[in-house]
Amino acid sequence: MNTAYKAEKNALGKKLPWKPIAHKIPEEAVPAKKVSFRKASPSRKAFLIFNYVLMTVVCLSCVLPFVHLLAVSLSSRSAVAAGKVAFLPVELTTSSYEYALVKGDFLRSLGNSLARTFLGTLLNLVLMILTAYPLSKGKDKLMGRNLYMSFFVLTMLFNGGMIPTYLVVSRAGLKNTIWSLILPGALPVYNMIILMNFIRGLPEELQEAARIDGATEFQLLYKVVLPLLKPSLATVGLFCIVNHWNDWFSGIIYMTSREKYPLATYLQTLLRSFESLMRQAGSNYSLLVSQINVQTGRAAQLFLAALPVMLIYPFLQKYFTSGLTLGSVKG
Amino acid sequence: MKKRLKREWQMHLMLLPGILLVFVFSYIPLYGLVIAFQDYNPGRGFSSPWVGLSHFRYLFSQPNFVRTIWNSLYIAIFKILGGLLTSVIFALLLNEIGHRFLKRLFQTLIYIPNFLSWVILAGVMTDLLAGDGLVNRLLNSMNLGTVNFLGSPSVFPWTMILSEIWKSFGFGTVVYLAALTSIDPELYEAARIDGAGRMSQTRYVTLPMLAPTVILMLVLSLGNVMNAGFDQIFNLYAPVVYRTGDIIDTYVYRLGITQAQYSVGTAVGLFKSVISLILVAASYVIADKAANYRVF
Amino acid sequence: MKKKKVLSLLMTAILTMSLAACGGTDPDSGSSGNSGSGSQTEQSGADDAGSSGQSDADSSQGGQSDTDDAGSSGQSDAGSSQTAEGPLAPYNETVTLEVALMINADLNYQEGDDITNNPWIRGYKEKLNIEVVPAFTAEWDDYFTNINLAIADKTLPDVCMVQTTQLQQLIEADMLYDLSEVYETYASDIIKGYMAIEPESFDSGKKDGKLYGIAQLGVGPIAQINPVWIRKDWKDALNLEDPKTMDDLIAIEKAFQQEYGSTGIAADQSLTTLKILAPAWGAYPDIWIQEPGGQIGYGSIQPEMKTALGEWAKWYQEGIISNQFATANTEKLNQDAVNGKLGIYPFKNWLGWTAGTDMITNIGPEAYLEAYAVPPAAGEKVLYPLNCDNYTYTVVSKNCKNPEAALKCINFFAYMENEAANDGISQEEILSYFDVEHAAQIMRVQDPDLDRSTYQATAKAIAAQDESLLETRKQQQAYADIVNFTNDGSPTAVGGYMLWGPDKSAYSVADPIITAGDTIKNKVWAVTPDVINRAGTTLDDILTEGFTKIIMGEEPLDYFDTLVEDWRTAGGDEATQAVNDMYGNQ
Repeated sequence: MNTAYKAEKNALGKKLPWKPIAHKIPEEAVPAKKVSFRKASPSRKAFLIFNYVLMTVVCLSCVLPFVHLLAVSLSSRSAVAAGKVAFLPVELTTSSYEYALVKGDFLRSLGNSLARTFLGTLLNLVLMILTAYPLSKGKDKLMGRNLYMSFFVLTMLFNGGMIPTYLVVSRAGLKNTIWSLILPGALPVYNMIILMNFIRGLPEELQEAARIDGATEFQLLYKVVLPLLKPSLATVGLFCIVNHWNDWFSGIIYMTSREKYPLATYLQTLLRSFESLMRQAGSNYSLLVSQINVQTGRAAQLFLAALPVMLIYPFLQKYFTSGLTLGSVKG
Repeated sequence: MKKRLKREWQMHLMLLPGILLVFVFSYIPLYGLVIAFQDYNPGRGFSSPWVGLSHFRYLFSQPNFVRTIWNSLYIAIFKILGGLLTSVIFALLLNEIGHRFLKRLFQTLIYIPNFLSWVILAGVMTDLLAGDGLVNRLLNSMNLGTVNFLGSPSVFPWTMILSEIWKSFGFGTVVYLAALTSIDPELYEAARIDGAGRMSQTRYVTLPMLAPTVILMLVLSLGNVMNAGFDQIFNLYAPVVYRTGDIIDTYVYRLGITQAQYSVGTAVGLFKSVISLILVAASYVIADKAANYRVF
Repeated sequence: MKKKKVLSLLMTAILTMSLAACGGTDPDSGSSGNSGSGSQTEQSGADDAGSSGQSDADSSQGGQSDTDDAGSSGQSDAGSSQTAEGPLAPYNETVTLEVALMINADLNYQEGDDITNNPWIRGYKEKLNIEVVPAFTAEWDDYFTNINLAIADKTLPDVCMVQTTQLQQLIEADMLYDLSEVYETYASDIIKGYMAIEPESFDSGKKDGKLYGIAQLGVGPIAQINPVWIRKDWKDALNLEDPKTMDDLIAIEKAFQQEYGSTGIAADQSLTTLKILAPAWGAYPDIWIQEPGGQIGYGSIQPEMKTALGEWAKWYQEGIISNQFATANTEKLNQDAVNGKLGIYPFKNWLGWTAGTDMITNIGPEAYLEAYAVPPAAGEKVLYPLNCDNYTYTVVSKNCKNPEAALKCINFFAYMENEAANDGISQEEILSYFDVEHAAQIMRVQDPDLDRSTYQATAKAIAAQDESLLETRKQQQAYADIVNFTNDGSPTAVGGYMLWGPDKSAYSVADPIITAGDTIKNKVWAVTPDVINRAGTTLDDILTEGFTKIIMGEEPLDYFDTLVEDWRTAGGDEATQAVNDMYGNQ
């Protein structure tokens, strides 16, 4: 009957179907908690050294391409074309950045992006919470729960394509407004499901107690559930922020004037402009252009676009150390 | 019935805004799927002439289309499984790092490749993996010979799989690490009292506690099993590796989707959606029956 | 990065067009009013009950002469200058034209100017009394995405630029203004002269005898002749003769390899560079040609192609081309060129702006490339393939109230380009327009002889060392590039030098070829049959994949026949049939 609940219990970690703490337990017990490196057993020492070395190597492999691209974005066109640039800029120039920044459009589109990301993420979060909470209940507590669920899940798998979506947005009169960037994806189902699974992992007892005290579902959601959700909201919130921040395509199709472009769209079109210039034989090249090529331009675009999100990331990170906890039982 | 509604109406109300928005912006546009069965002309709109299954027949009659399905599945499945395994392993290893600052630092750094787009990475990769590139020079110096990473049909899919895993494992690691840190310490305590070593703790406490998250991520990722990574492959492949590297999306792109071939594109999209639906449904049922865990 | 690949796909796409089903009408409200009413595009569908303009072209253009400020504009144009009927006559009352503008590159604007406010937009207003309001502005790819959406949304702006596919869709959906009469009445003699040079392109804008799209034409066939570029400093240092035959070319490559460590004649994964050499063997890949039997057949599957492939397979074995070619892209080739690993590079005429510039900066001013004609392999004359040069059309919405205004703007461009100087408009003013030439991109027809005449005029001026012989902005620019590069080896000028230069430049090679008519035209001209469009590049991909295997020796040369079979069954036969139906017996 109540399978969803079974799942909840499992997630709660009280009764696991996988025999968590089983009969066969070896003799040499390891003393509690962390053991300092010096006192660790030789095999543990070997493991720890291996672990740190591995992590360092892997992290280097993740960072070096990034450093390389940063160097490319700051190097002259000819040095890049010759493949001379490794991890340090060759013939240092900031032309690629000037090209993007000199124009006043940059600040305006940055503002558009901030507004869109803020508003969009806020709406995402509100809708995700409102949807995930009821869906986290079993079907005995919410009539038609599975029907609702399939309604949402299907949209993850099927979509009508660009033109029909455009027509809906256009007919709704949203073109050229910030809402055209926000409303079509207002409920990110993937993230909502992650959030829902988190809510399932919360202890039911508190909610039951509140319910008995006569709290309405809204009060319950606001007063009991929401405070426990903070960490996971930080996680799905980050995903939403990144999505909004990086999306350039909807800007292209829904905004008819450049003044309303978000940053990602603006940078994208800047690069397009530049590429189309490259393909026109006979165009006169100003000094600026002789310094940039598509590679350096792209690299600079990457940094201008990604930097703000990357700066946010470490701050949000501390929240999601316990963000996607399906089995948290602190209650 | 009435009684239930009276008790539950607030929750239905909560669902209402989401349902409305999803209906308007996701369900209404679904009528656009009809163009998979039409000879679509944007000017005529959705009352373009019906052509039945002819777009599907056309696709499947193309000698090289069917191989792209297998290539897509092959590449996507190994990407999913490999990514899963890598993420879990790294989460476990990262969890063993006691130094808090280093742990946070590593965690941040492995997420960085997520910010790079394939258009940009492809340039870096072609340089690195070229015959005279850094990687091959390294292999040569160890007398391992030269590997044609991007030009050999047998190697190419694995170059794609491994580089994709490298690029995206940080995301999974963060997710699993989060799940790990939230495991009730009491469980470890109990295990320790019972005399479990580190390996046993991992085996009997950590892994089972991680299982629901793994299943969740796995089922969710199956929705993408037909998407083997257009951006990546499009930017890295060449005719010489079409045999093993051409995937559905790159093939369809070359059919001229960008040039208003909407009908064929929609037909392919529909085909992919149906396959994904079947896989997601199947994995959902399996997770439910075998592990007693409901993802949705 | 595969930018070049994207571009080539894009170009293929541009060349294609689809004949979809026939359409119905749904007029929208064009927004041409009398006063600049703003730039709103979105009539959002609901209210356009077809009340607005049907085909009445004459609502608000001005009546008679009004010579007050007309002095500066279209006076010179023979006979027809004084009335509003004239190709360049200004309106009495301002006419608003809603135009979808394309952003092409916005580096050259004067301070404060942009795509919506620049010399052209101001010129339309001042000289013609036409106020151009932007419907939207977007870059190339995005522009056409937006056009597609506008078509679906039935909110086509008054004037926009479309590709062949879109033109057909719009015609079938009955959304375009029939420009036949307007064109006859208003198109200037210059424009009509351009069209006379390219009648097929002009006709491709027609359907059932009615003119719906004005072909924008290209800069002429001279731009399509692809030379073989050879490193000058290497060739000079080794005292090598100009290549007269393919064997000479191979000998030069071998000398380069021995002396300079060249890694081979440039070859890439898409076989673009090798295909430039193919005519040496009488092979014409990628275009449709007359077969000996009179039928039209695809050049890539003819026996001559097999011969060429056999040679290239030998080249691969002997190291004449790099063993890494199957993964190389244009970027990699350019990198090799810059790093001194490439001495022979068959490529487009604009190589100077990519590899050329970077070689000068990195190696030095002597390290540039000279253009040579493709040398014959078996003594026969080499013919160069030509494609239709027209990719886009200017179209006017059915609901536009002043379709002739678009024609006037088109005339205006040609006037500024050709006649303004004679009318006493200052050089400076003309320059201000042509510095941002692309801002007029939507409403212009290019001179199909532009590049050739520019080359010839420039060559004359260079020979006479007389700058005053230069008439247009483009000529001045070409001249300046040549002078600057000759004098200081400036890297920013090498692109122009390699294109326009007086000797061994792309155009100095191409000009005599065009004069001699040593070209072979693609039988498929302007309009491509639908079956070919539907296949995109996948039909060609079958061949490219197989050709690569043959060259690399993974398959024997006779695999070619299997490949041709594959190509036929995958849709090649169907395509051949369709091409013969459309272009046979002409």
